[in-house]
Amino acid sequence: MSGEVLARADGVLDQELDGQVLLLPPGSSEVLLLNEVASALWQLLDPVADLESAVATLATHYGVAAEQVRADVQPVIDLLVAQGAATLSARRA
Amino acid sequence: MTAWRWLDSVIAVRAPARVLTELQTLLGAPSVDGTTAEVVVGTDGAVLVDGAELLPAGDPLEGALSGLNAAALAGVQGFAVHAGVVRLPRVGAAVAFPAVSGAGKSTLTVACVLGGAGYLSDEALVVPWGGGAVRAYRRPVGLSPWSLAVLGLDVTVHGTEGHVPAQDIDPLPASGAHPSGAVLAHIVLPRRGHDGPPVLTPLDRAHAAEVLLRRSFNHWTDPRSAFLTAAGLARGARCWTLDYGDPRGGARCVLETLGDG
Repeated sequence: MSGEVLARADGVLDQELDGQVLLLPPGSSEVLLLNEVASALWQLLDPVADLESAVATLATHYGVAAEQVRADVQPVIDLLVAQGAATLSARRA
Repeated sequence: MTAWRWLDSVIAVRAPARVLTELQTLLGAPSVDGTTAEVVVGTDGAVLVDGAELLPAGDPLEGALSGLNAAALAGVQGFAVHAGVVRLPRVGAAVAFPAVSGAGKSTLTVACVLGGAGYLSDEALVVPWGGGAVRAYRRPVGLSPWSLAVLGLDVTVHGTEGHVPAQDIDPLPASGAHPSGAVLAHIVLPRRGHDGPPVLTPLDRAHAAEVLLRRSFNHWTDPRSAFLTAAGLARGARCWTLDYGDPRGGARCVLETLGDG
């Protein structure tokens, strides 16, 4: 996790409805419906966030350990990247 | 050749004479406008829509109606979602029941109409891209013998799948006032098979928007506009799931709970 940056992909569309985020990745016609924690993570990417900082923010917000949050959001990160909704890259020094 | 206007298309139908006669009974007077699409029904019931095969051999009337529906939805200028749609009595707002074929939306739609709602469609929720008033798509309603019995409907049906002219379940006023123009106020996901009394449960809007996109006939033609339209519809509506067993009970629940807006 250390040194990683998560960013919204160029051209991704998002709509927030009652705290839940719906995404349309660029070039796709299939939407992604994010759960509460994933939606909170998405809102922290505006349009980019240091992953370690984002996880720490969520851990504080939900009152749980950062390791637990990281484990919870990892599948979401994998999905966002796989679907082209976000990019994950190494932080520049 | 005989043609009918369905949504934004004027669809010419070439079919055996008896099929055209039945279509006139179901659809009313043909259109005299220039045609924009063509459905060809062979004597064996095989259907071509604008030259492409839609259905293999089968019942010719069913084939003609399927062809008209396919042509109308292919030519629609707007966002179209597989759904039953009614207009609430008194308040005039629309309620959509997005669902797949066979989920009971036609029966639930007609049950609402029998309870006083206006018939807008048993097939598609249609709104302009970007949102706006619901457009009526009053094609003939398909009702199985089971549906007719449950609804207590005594009407003449046509074809092997039991089609009823829209005018027979919800006649338009003599003035010919078109029933389009209702704002979509409620999105209701019907779930049949519930044992207890029917119940409406609030549903989060993001889930409702996702369902609209998943049930859309044409979101792939303009994914960006469809996405924004679906989100806008869900944002402007109240969203629910309806668990019900008896369609008339489900309709009563909808009309009593949502009937005042």
